[in-house]
Amino acid sequence: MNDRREVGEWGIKSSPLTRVVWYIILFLLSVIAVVPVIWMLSTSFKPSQEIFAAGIRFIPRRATFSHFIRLWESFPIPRILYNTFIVATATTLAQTTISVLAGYGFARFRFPLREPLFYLCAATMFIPIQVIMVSNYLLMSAWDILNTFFAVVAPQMANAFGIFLMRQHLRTFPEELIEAARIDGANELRVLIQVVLPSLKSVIAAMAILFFVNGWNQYVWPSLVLTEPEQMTLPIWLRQFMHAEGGSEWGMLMAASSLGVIPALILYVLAHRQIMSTFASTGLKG
Amino acid sequence: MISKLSLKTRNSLKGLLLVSPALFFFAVFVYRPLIHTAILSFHDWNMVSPTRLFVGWDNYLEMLENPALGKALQNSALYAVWLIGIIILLPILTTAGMTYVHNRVRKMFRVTLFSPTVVSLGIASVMWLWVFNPIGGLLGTIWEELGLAPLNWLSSPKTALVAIVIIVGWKAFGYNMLLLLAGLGGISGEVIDACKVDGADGFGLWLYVILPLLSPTIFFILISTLSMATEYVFTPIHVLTGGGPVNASTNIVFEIWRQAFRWFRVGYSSAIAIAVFLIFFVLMIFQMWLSEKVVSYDER
Repeated sequence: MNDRREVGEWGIKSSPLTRVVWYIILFLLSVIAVVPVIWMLSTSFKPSQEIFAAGIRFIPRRATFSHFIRLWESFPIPRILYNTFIVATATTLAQTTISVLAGYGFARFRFPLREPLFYLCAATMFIPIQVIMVSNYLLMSAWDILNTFFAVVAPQMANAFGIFLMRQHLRTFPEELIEAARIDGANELRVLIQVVLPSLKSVIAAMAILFFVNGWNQYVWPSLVLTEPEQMTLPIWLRQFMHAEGGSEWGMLMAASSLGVIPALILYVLAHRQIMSTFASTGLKG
Repeated sequence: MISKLSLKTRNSLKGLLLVSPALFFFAVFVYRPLIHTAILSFHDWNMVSPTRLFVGWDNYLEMLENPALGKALQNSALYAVWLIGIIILLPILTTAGMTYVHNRVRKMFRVTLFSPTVVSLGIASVMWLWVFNPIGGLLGTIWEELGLAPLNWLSSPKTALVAIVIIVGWKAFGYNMLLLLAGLGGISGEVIDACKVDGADGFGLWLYVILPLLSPTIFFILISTLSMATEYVFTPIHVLTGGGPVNASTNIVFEIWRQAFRWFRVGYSSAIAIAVFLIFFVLMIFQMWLSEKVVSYDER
C-alpha cells in the first residue's frame, strides 16, 4: 500500500465538460475566500469620500494612507500590536515546548496510567472553552491578575492538538538512534534535543506557526481578561473601537483590521508548504 | 540516588516527568474549572457577593422552563445544520473536484481556499460587517445592483443567524477541506487501479470506493465541526449581535457568557455550562467508539 500518488493522478474517468465545471466551481469558491479580504484592504486605502461611492471598485482611484495615519495618531496602535505579538509569542513558546515534552513522554516511555492520562489530555479538545471560562476568569480575578499577559497565556499553555501531533510523529522515530545516543552517555534531554528534534524540524516549525497564528488571532479568552485598553490585543481592541465609534469610520476600521490580518497572512504565505505537508503527513488514525 | 532505582522505574519516572507540565496545566485550567463549575451550578451567586446560596437543582430546573434557553438550543441546532452543509458537504464536493484539476492549479486553489483559516474570527466579524453593509459594502452594493431591497443582514431577526453562518463557514471551510485532502492523499493509488480493473470508474468509484475509504476522516470532521459550530459562532455573536435581535442569533455557549457576564447569574450560567459539557462528553464517547471500530477495520 505504498503507492501514494498525488490525488490528481488517479486518472478517474471524466468528460471534459465535468472538468470545466469543476474549474469554474473551484474558481468561484476561491473568489469567495479571497474577495472579502481584498475588499477590506481596498477600503483601508480609499479616501473617505470614495468609500461610499456607488459601484464596486477594488483598486482605489486615489490610494491614500490617511486612515492608517489617523489611526496611528489617535490610538496606541504600536502598543496594541506589541501586546498581540507578545501574547502570541509567549503562547507559541509555551505550547510548543510542552507539546514536544509531553509528546515524547507519551510516545517513548512506559509508565503507570499512561493511556488514561493521554486520554485525559486528548479529551480536553472536546471541552468547549466557554464551559470552563467563567471559572478560570474567577480564578484570575481572585489572583488579582486580570489584564496581565500571564492571565491570557496561562490557561492555554498545554495544547491537546500539539501533544497529539508530536506523539504521532515521535512514535515512528527509529529506536536504534535513541539507544545509540543513550549508550554514548547522553542524558534524556540531550537525546531529545540533539538526536530526535532535528529530524522533526519542519513539523515543529509548522506546528509553531499554527500556534503563533492562533495566538495572534485568539478572541474568546482574551476578551474576558483584557479589559484595559492598554493591555488589549488587536482583535479585542478592534471590537471595542468598533462599538465606540458607532460604525461610520469604515476606513479606519478596515485599516485596523488589515493590521491584524496582514501579519498572519504573510506568515501563512511564507510557510504554507510546511503547513500543508504537516496536515498531509499526520493523518487522523491511531 | 536516582541511579539506584531499577531501569524500569527510572524510565517510568522520566516519562512522567516529561508529561507532567502538560498534566499540570490541564489539571489547573481544564479539570479544576470543570469541577468548580459543577459545584457553582448548584448555587445562586452574583459574582461579587461574599455568600453563595445553595439551591440544589433549581438552576437545572430553570433551564427546562426558560424560553430564551430553548431558543438558544434551537439556534445551536440550526447553526449545526447549516455548518454541516457549508463546512462538511461542500468541502467533500470540493475535494472531489480537486482531483479533476491540473496539479499546479490544485495547489493554487488549495492555498487560496485555506487562506481564510488564518484570519482572526474577531477581525473577520468586523470585516464581514462591512461586506454586509447596505451602503457601500460589497454585498450590499451587489444586492442593490441586483435590484433587491436593502437588507441589514445582522440587525434583522430573519437573517442574523444566516449572516453569522456565512462568517463562520467562510472561516472554517478551508480547514476541513485540507483534512479531507490529507485523507484522500492517504488512499493508495493501487486500490483505485484495482477497482478500475474491476470496472468501477467515474461516479461509482467515488460513491462505492473512495467515500467509504474516506469515512474515518469524514467522521472525525463531523464531530469536530459540531464543536466548531458551537464554539466558533460565539465570536461573531459577541462582536456583532450580542445574541440579538431578540435572541435571533444567540446560541447555547453564548448564553453561558451572557448569564455570567451580563446578568451576573453565575450559578445558572454554570448549569448551562455543565449541560453543554455533558452533550460534548457524549459526542466524545461516540467519536472514541467510532474510531475504535475504524481501527479494528484497518487491522483486519
